[in-house]
Amino acid sequence: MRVSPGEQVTVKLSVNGIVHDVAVESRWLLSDVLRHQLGLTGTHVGCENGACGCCTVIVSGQPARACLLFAIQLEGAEIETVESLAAPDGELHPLQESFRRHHGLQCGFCTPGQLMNAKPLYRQAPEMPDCELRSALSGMICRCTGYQGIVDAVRDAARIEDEREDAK
Amino acid sequence: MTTSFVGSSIQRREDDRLLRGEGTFVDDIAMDNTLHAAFVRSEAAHALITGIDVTRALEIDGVVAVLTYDDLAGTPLAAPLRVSQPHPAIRHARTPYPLARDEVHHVGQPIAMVVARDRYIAEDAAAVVHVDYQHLPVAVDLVGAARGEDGPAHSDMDGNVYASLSEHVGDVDAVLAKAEHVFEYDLRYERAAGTPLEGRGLLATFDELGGRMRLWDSTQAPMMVCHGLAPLLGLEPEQIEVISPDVGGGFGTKAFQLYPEEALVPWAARWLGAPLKWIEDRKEAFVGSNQLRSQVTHVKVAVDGEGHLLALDVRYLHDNGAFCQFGILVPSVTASELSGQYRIPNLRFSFDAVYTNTTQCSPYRGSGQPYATFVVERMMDWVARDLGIDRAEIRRRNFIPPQGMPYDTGLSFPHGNRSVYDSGQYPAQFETLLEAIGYDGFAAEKAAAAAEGRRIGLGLTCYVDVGGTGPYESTKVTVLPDGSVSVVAATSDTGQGHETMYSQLVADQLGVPMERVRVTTGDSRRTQYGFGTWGSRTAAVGGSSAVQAAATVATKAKAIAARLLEVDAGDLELADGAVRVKGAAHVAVPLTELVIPARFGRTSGGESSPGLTAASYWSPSAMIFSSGAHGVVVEIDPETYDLNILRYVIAHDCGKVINPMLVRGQVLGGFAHGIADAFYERRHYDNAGQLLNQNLMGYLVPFASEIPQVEVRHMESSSPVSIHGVKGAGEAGSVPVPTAIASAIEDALGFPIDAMPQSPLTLFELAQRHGR
Amino acid sequence: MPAPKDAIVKPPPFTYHRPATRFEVDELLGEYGADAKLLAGGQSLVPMLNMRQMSPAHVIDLGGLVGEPSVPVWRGAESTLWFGPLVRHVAVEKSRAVLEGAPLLSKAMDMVAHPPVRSRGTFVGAIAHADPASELPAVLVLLGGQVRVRSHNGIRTLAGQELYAGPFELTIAADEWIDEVRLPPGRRSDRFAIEEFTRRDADFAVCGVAATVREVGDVLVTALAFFGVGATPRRFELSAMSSDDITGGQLDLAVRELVAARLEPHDDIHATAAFRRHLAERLAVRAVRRAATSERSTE
Repeated sequence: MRVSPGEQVTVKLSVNGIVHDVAVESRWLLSDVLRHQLGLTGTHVGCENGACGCCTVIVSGQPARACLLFAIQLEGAEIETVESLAAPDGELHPLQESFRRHHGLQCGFCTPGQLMNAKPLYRQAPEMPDCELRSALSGMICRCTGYQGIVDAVRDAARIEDEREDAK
Repeated sequence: MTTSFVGSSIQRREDDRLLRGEGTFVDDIAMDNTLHAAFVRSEAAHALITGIDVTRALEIDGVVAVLTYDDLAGTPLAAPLRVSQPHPAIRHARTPYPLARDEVHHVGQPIAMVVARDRYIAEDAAAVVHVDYQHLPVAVDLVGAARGEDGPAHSDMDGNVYASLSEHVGDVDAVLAKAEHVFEYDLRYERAAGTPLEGRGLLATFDELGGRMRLWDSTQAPMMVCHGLAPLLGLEPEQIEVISPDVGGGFGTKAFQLYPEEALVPWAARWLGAPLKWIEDRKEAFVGSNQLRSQVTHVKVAVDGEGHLLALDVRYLHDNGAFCQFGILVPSVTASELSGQYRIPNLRFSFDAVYTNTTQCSPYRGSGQPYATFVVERMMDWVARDLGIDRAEIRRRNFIPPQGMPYDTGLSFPHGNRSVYDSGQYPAQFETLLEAIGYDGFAAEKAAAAAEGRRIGLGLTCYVDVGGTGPYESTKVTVLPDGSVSVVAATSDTGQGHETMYSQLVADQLGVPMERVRVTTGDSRRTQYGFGTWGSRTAAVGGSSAVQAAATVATKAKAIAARLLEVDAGDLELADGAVRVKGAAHVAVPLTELVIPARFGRTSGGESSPGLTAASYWSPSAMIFSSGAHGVVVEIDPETYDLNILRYVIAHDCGKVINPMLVRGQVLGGFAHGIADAFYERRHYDNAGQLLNQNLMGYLVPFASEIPQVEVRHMESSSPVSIHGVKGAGEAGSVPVPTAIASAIEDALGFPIDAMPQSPLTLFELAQRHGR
Repeated sequence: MPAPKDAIVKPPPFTYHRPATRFEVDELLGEYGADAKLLAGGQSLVPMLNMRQMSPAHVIDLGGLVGEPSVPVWRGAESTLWFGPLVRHVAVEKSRAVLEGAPLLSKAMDMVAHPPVRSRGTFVGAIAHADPASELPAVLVLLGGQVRVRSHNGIRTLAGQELYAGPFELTIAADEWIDEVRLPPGRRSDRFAIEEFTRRDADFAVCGVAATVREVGDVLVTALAFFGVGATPRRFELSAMSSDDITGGQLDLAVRELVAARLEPHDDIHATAAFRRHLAERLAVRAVRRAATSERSTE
């Protein structure tokens, strides 16, 4: 495969379970393609060199920085963004609910990245010592909350989820 | 009974959309045919521009225009931007041209604007615009610049001092001359910046037929932008719709009038006849968005043998970067708090505000206050040390007592009121802190740690924090035909939860459920006169105006209902969406039924104006001061000089609390900025004026792993100034933190800490110098 | 590294290639050489592209290589631990083979970046990136690992020690690339530790050191490799010491001598050369003492 500068090629991107045919240039970052080609503006862009964490999405089950991936690399990968978290009926994901209860967000700009970064680990969070959990959440800048609300929210999300399961 | 929302930790109404990724930040707004801007910025800190070659940029497919200063000739944008906070003390006002004319004064100053089909292409073009520079002397170091040894930063000036101000109360010289003890200290504070995660951003579109400019702006001050923009666009403010949508943090960085891009983007959108978007990238934010914090201070203090403060003389230099669009606001704020929490009968400050060839400065969370706290509170520690008095005891001997409130410091606050403390319980607050941090037992704790080779130290600081600054704020409250309530506030939310806060206040006043209140903030289409969000002012000043407007609406509703029900208005109350007779809830008129009579304007019935609506431009009659005390125990690694915070206690008083959860959020968020200011964040310039850490890998914004847990103790000293007793909470969390950390590091390592921020490197070097 | 231009965070235009075999990579590099950059995990390359610190005309994405293992594997008669070009950090971190065969590397992986970067970054890519502040080249050199270097002209093997020419600079030619990294099996008696100093959690090291301690008869032989201090990772051996020497002042003296004589630290905003020397000494002493007193790794 060879793609020249300025040339657009169609890639199949699986985002939140839907396969999109998207025309992209080779240098277009996944963060830009999600936001501006697919209209999924929940993924935010804070630095574009992988240092802030705002654009974190899940790629094939693992958190990844969308600003450090070219969309053209990702044919066949399963991409999940913040828009996939809430249930189809609109019910917030336990992590989202927990962020709300624990005041884990203020301006909300880093929040989608925080949620996607925490999604693979929140089930383990209740057992993690504070310093270990904070280390697991590091690399993700929040400029508003001072992090306590985020730490509390990630720690409590599994309990909220279990409570919901029990109620069903 | 009427319900009360005020005082409850009500969950935020903003959260749902933000959690779903459905917020609307500027870059989330898409318009057809939008063009994209990128800027060519100065690579030199101080130089003459001898040539700009845009040829290669214009050859790139997809480039629409490349504008330089010459292209703006004959337009209002060919002149320097205004000083938005003028002051008679400013002798040499220098502000930037939107695009540099012939001289550039800091790295990052805009020189050319590229407009292209998309941002990638705009950056391709910006990268090949060639600028020739003839380099000029550079001023970076504050002291060197102030003395005229470096620079000048502006080639048409002889030195770099652009304003000087002095003020005094009492006879400082006389007391210094005869006091039992006079001590002198030097202190220094270095550059940082607000660094909101969402950079600045603009989307402008001009409606030629309607003659209206619409500008979505990630700003804390949409009304100021609107009024600042009007003369540049030749439009009336009411023709300019400045909308501040969801804003990804501000911290002062976005409370400005005007950034060059804010003038250029709307102007060019109109000129090009197409929507134009500019989203500041992280590189630009580091050199193009305002910064703050460098000051150098010399203190002379007179005390008696018991440590009572008799006179204080504070001289300082303030580094304002390359320009002074905000005048001398920051150093003046420092001056207004130099009394700290203490009675100081003779007090004098004098400062020189100085230009350097660095990015311009304007308030960042706390504005000039962190310096004031640093100077006063480090001084208290040192006077205690030099007199052999306990650090806590010397503070006790000097506190302004609660019965001394309101307390006039004798100093002025910039642009308005005198620096008079409205209320506070400083001694009790301090004792609360000492108990919580374990002050009395600490000597033993420290000795035990020392026996294990560990170096721990305890730091203390008190502080005052101005909130509720004027001149005024506006809110309009209206009962709509469906009985819901509209609140339109001129302030702009950047994450504080204003929608929730205003809803709580207004719902209580009008006796409606919170979900029946809709809130609009930061939209100049809906209101014109007001300011914005900074200086811990929104809950106190905007909140007071909301309460006042809602109370007026309630009075009107009662007057109309009194006529309809044929009862005395004094017997009525608002509850459950109706006006009803106290004690006889079934005798009631729903608000919906009052809307039409009110609209028909039965003003003869006693209502002052038609409609169930009222606007308030509430203005504080005096200053409002929050206060608090911080205590911290730190451990310093004796080999790496790394900082470990073992415990941190905040005793905090911001008056009446509308929503405890939100206040806690502000305090903890501010605290993290304070930790950053103490040990992590510093903008490092080299002598050539190049910023050495221009990204978030070199500029160390702390992660969750660097911020410790905090214990917060709240007190409530209601403000007699604000209508609802509320003070400010936005900045207090950050203001005292570096001072507390400095105090603790000094206690741990045994040598003076007179500069902030510190780092493992600076502590290593200090330890070497002190032979430790 | 050239200073990035302001106002630039989008990558420059390039021709994108996605070869399916290593042979095709050889051919592409043979054709474009210094005008091409390899893209594996991209966690170092893409930030540099976004800030236009480099503008390669060609980017060769290794992500399309067919049949490449995604985890480290044992190979050969000597049970060498073998890393292919698409083994990501997260796979190294979670690998039992690494935990057993190169436990020092397992330990080092905890220090490498944050999970969203570890999920994409590759081990071979980090070795080839030659960041002097990275833990992994130092571990490679300390453990006596090798890299396999290939091009359209053939394949050769280099010791890790011979790979590094300077910061972000390799000794190999522009048409060559590294397609494998190999670590020799650890000895049962080896003990190890890694210590580093960062300003924030999982940042690049201001200074760090990996250490192995091996029992040879009655004495302990200590080897060290530093990172974040000096242009390239090198392996240093201390003269043999008794375990008393290590717990006593002898170790401090030996380390001080080594650091003074052999390290050439640089200045930056986080640490001066003098502070780096100080950190190198203290961290090395800590690492050796920890290694010497730790449980044997593979028993």
